[in-house]
Amino acid sequence: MTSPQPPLNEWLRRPQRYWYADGLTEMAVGGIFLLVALTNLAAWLLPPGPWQNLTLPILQALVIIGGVQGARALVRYLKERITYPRTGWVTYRQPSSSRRWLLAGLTFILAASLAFLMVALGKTVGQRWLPLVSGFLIAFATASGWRLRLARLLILALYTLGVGVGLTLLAPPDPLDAVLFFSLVGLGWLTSGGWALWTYLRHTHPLDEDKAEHA
Amino acid sequence: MSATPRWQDLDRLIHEPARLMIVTLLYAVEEADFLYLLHETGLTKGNLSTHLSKLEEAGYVRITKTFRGKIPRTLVALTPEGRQAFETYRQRLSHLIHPPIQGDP
Repeated sequence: MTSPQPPLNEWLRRPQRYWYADGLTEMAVGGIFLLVALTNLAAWLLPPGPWQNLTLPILQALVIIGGVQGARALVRYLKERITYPRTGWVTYRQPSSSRRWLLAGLTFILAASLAFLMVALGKTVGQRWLPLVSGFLIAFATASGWRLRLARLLILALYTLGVGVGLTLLAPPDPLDAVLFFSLVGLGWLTSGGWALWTYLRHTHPLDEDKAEHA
Repeated sequence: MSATPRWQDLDRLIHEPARLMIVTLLYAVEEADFLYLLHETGLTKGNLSTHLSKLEEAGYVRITKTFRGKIPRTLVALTPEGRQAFETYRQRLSHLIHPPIQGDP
């Protein structure tokens, strides 16, 4: 007896992909990139001093963590209003409390390390190459979303890399390079998310009270 | 579980394509509502309802009825037995499709 192989892996991916169906997460990530661009601008406005290099990484780490927490709550709220009434409600399996703290700690360490790395790189290899390095790192992380078979994440990765290469070639002065880089990347994510949301809204309709399910 | 599973060893309740899809979708989440399953499976309300009832009878899913405002919401979650049944099914299917080479432990 033979039987065609059921696409279990594809079905297992669907709930994860569903989280991105409405583009809200991409828009939130875009917002966080814009906040990071603002921190670069704010750090530039601070009076110069040796502690200025310390302020930026800490400020950015805090903005990223605060932004992620705030964006998560905002995305959940919007999903309750927009997505779940249209295509259904899902709760994802959550890590245990200890694992959540561990992840938060690791995120903070990673964010602070990356920010310090950027400052150190700026001093050693030169500020000019920072957009390229940042673009590569963000593009790499974005492209890893291909495991969900979301083509627009690949396009976003290429776009991010393109922004990094472009700004490296143009070599705008510090901190305009960082401000431009994070602003352009943020706008790219906002546009991608906005397009996904527009497409999603066009193809779905909120559940009518009269047609509500009675399983 | 025997060393070499046979096709007839597969859980027939899960092996049915529509139910397999429902169980697989639920395996990846904590809980989902009827509308989500309807949207993802492409089944009719009646069909989905029938399959969910069979899975509930077998103890593989837990169905809870609540309200979201005035709209009834039916929540479906895989029970620990359902999770175990899916894992066993997946393992056996994998052995049937890609049988281990003789001599392998």
